[in-house]
Amino acid sequence: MKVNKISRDDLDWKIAYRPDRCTLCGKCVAACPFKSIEVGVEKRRKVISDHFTPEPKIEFKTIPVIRQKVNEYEFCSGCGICERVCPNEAINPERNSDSRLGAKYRATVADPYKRGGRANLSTGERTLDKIRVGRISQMTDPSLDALRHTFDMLAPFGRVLPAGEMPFDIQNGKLVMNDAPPKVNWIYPIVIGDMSIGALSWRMWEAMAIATAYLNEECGIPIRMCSGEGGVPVRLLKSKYLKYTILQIASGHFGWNRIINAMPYMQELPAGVLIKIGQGAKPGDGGLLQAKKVAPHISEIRGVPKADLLSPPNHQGLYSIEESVQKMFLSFNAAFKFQVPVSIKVAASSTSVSVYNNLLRDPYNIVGGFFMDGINGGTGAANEISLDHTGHPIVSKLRDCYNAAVHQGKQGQIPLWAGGGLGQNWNLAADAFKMMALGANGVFTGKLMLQLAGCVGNDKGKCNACNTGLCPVGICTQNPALVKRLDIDKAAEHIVNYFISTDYELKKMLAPIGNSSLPVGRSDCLIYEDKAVADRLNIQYSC
Amino acid sequence: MGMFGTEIEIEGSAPADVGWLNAGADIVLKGDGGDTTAHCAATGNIYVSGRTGTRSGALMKDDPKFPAPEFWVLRKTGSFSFEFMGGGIGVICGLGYEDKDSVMGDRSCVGMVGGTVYFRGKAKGLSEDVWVMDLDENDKEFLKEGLPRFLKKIDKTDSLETLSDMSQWKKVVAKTYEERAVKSLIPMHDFRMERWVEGGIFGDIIDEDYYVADYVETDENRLKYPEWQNAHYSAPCEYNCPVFIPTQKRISLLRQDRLQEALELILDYSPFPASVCGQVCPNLCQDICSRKHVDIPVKIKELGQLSKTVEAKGFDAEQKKEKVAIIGSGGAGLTAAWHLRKMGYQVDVFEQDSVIGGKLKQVIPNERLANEVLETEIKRILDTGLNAHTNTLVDKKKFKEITDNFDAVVIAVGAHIPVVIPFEGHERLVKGLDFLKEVNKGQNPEVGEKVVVIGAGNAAMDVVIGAYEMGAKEVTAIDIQKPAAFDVEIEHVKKLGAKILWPRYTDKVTEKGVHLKDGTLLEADTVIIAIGDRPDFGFLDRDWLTEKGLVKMNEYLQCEGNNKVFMTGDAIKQGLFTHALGDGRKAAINIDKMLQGRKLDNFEKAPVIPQDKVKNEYYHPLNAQSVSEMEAGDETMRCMSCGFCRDCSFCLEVCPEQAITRVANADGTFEYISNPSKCIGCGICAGVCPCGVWEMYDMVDKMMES
Amino acid sequence: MANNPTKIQGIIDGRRVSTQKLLYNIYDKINEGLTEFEVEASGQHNIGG
Repeated sequence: MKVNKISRDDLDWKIAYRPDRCTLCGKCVAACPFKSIEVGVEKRRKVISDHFTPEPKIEFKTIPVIRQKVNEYEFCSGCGICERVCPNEAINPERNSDSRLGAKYRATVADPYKRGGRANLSTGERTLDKIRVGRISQMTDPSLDALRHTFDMLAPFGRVLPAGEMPFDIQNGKLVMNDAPPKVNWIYPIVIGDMSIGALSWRMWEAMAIATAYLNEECGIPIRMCSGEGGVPVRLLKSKYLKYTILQIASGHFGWNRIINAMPYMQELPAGVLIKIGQGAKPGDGGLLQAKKVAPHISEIRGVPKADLLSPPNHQGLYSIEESVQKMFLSFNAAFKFQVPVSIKVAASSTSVSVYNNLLRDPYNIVGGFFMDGINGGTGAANEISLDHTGHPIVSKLRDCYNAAVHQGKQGQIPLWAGGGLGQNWNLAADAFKMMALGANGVFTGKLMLQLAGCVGNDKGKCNACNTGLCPVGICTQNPALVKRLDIDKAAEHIVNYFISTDYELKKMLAPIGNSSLPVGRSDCLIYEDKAVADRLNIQYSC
Repeated sequence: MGMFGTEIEIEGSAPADVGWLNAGADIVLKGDGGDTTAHCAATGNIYVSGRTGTRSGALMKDDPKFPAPEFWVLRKTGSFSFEFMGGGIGVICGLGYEDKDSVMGDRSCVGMVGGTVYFRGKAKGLSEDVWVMDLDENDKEFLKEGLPRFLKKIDKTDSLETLSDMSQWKKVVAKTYEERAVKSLIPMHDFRMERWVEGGIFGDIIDEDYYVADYVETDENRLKYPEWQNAHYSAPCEYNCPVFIPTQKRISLLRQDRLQEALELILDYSPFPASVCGQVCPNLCQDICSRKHVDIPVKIKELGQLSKTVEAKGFDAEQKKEKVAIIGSGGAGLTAAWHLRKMGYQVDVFEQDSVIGGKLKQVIPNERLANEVLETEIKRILDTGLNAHTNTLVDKKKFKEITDNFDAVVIAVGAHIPVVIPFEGHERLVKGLDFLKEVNKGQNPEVGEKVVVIGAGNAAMDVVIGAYEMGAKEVTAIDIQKPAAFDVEIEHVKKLGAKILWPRYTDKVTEKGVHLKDGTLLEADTVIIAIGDRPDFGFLDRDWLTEKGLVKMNEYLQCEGNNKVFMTGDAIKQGLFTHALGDGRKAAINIDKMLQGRKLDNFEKAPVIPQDKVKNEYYHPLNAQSVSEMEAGDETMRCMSCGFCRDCSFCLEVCPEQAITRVANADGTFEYISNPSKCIGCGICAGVCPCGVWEMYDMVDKMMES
Repeated sequence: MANNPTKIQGIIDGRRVSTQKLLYNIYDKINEGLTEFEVEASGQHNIGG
């Protein structure tokens, strides 16, 4: 052992191993995909004397044990699968508060540290958690019953024209529509997305697609799923379920060849097109699919060879907001003959209001929505520096954009959708409700779906190995042996069940404030216990 | 609110809450009622001759100790009517609303858990908590009895006939608790199989059976799988040995009590186990032996000595007609001859000197290589039936004759031209090679009391030894760099009293001795130079040589000038005896391949086993004294059998799934096999294997590449 | 199919036709079964002129 060699104490996670409880059944080492633990032999040597006079006696044993690997590549990620499979409670990862991995890794590998997951710094209390629904309408308005009353829970995906701009004429005393208004799809106020095939295993992606279809067809919850930028399976494109899918185009344009070629065979139009400019987890960065996840089917769907697949940080052909409206919006509107609304997704930023103001002009009525993704969004792979140190919280930014629209009297015309860490504390309904009350027409969620399906990671550095291609639960990997671990039916079922609960919980929030439709802009019902935040969000300060 | 016996009659319409919490009163409302009419009514009767507002009949109840409440409405009710109704009877006659969508407002009967609502006409927007049913006889009887009473109370008896057509009536009842509890959702699996895209949306590009694997699996679903790869890696000793002698295999035979085979095994590699391995070789094998990580290296040198008297075997095989000529009878030539004879070729060895053995015989001091040992081994070679031609100089003419008459030729002429540096007085120098040859031939060359040897390589050390042997009192070896001789040689001459100085740069040599460039004088009566020798290729065409005078050749040791001529030993580059032996063996093997028309070998070695695969934790360190007292044959105890299965069956015993079996083959060999249908890929076999024979492979790589 | 391409005008009555309108005109013709067009464009997006 030399000074500069990495040691166990440098790692984020130490394997706690209890040899007295271990039967060497091999399950932990068989199950760990990271090869962070291995079997080895240990020497136990003692020279003792058990006589009345000194008489050396050698006790020598060699014992097989489970050991942690200590290097910069196979370090334990803390996923805890070893603990799950151990029948004897003989092994588990323990967080090492003295970790120096961040320094050791960079000092040895000379490359930015990459991982998946969410921002791991500042995982304390979130603004959203401290916002309460403080206006209860039991006396002031007729309150509703969440279980028994019916609610109108639809949000617009598409350009909403104000009444005065609708293309109506009066002919012979009757109101007639003399032109087609922009297409608006009224959908559930939560969109699943946008996680690509490639970032996710095919089972995970299909489980989300199935859950989406199930929620629509069996539960009457008109939810939509955004494809992410990794292409769309041709079989889905040609199926009737395409109508529940929002297609994504991002800077890499992966998979669009197959989408375009499938157009003549589409039975249904897609639910929308979402142009991805940026994402909250790593704003300013494009997608990053590491080569170890580019399996043959990924190459096929995306149309690229096995390599690190980097989506450029920018759409190569876009230079300004105006141009993005002109070019991307018009092209994708035209692609589906103006029958499929087109929205745009950006990373929340200090400049988001300017962008939104610009879009609000929309002289051609082709901007179908503004999706903003905050700093706590998840990702399958990013440089940690982007994850932890870049981005903008979503709450105040969403509020700013909404207020900007209200200021112009244009709220609701270009629907606002917000995301980035929603459902982080397992309650998506609460987050969604509050974001809507602050002005969102709807919200979107991604990482939470993975956690419902079985992701073992968290935002305190546990697992976060989505980028390695070795996801221990088969969600963020293309390795067949690992993907097989994921139960597609259970994953879909858990997502469905979660939304059934969420739907009810949303109503539980709507009922006391007396809304039987979505509470968009109902910030009067919110209170905050911190004056600065209350003032910033322009909601009631309470103490 | 009103108790039994109370009668209330309202002429005209009333605001909200008529009959709220009715507890027994008869209330007649001869007009429209406002919102929440009959709200929470628990017994008594309420008769309305017009319409009622929202939430009419909401939360009506039926207390079993009292008659059920009745709520009669001639026309219609508003939205949310009969919300949360728990009991009682509502009757909506729908008079005048026959052509409307609904005689109850939207979302009526939300949360209804009990009671009955009769209605005439249509109803729309009812909650999912209720069933709409046709009337049975009891229902009809109730209405036929009740309608005249109701109409009489509100003075509308003329409508009796209209309302008495029972076919226009239906009733709403709440679902039972059990009916409500039924989960009507279809199982996800069924949804996927029956309604989802057939075969899955990835079915056209991925072979998918949707099998759900456990974290721990066997067969193709394992993350890793083991393979017993005996001798897949070179042992360090084998890797470092220029002759590729696999000591670990020799010891393995010893361990199996196959002593004779073990001693014979070495003869498959070298005909000089005792002379070279056992004496002159610096034993690179021992330098790298894994055992040094436990205590001290295995005594491979001594093992070599054990094979001194082993008889040559395997030379009685079928004799081939092809003839091979070998020029030179040193280590390289004799080794090539040995192997070629073993393969049945006719071998002629041409030696310029009067004795067979080359430098082994000519220059190695007796104290480094006992003559008796060397003679024994040379005799063993000669006895294989080769034709040795001593005192035969090969010149250009002879070489041509040989190449014309033999099927292959091995050039093993060694390096016999001593190198001399042309500084002033160089003609005074005695050449080390000549000096050693004279010593070994018993010609006792003269040396003075003080001798300086220029050079400090292994040959120079031999010269130092020779000088002492010839009577020198004080010998100093100098070099311009760190001495290239092996430590053991240096130690040896130091014991004799020699000094080794470096760096020292010779300026000139005079009768006084060696004058160094720094001005100092090393006094010497005799100065011997031993800084290396070069081969004599006078018998070859100049075309065969590079500009530096070496023979142009390829990786298979073939001369570019003529592919049937092979180069070996010091004629290629000055090295150890073992290098010469290694070359002799390689040349023999490639000559055989050439003559049999097979592809030649460039003798790439298997990679040396990574040190951490050999588990030194199994071995208790022994102190040097105990080791030195051990017999060489007992080195089986200490050899760690790197990369070569020692047949300890640790894997077999430790495997948690009992997946490993040992298979004994008919030829006396054995192997261990892991059964994929039992193995979970834990890697315990590889992790505990003392020899590093089990290797784990990544199933992922296998699958991803396919 | 007609050998003569169908003409689509980017300017009608001296006024520029919007991209969307122009595309609709093309869609209508496609629905009639026509496949060859000659577009006299006037700066419409993705068409030029």
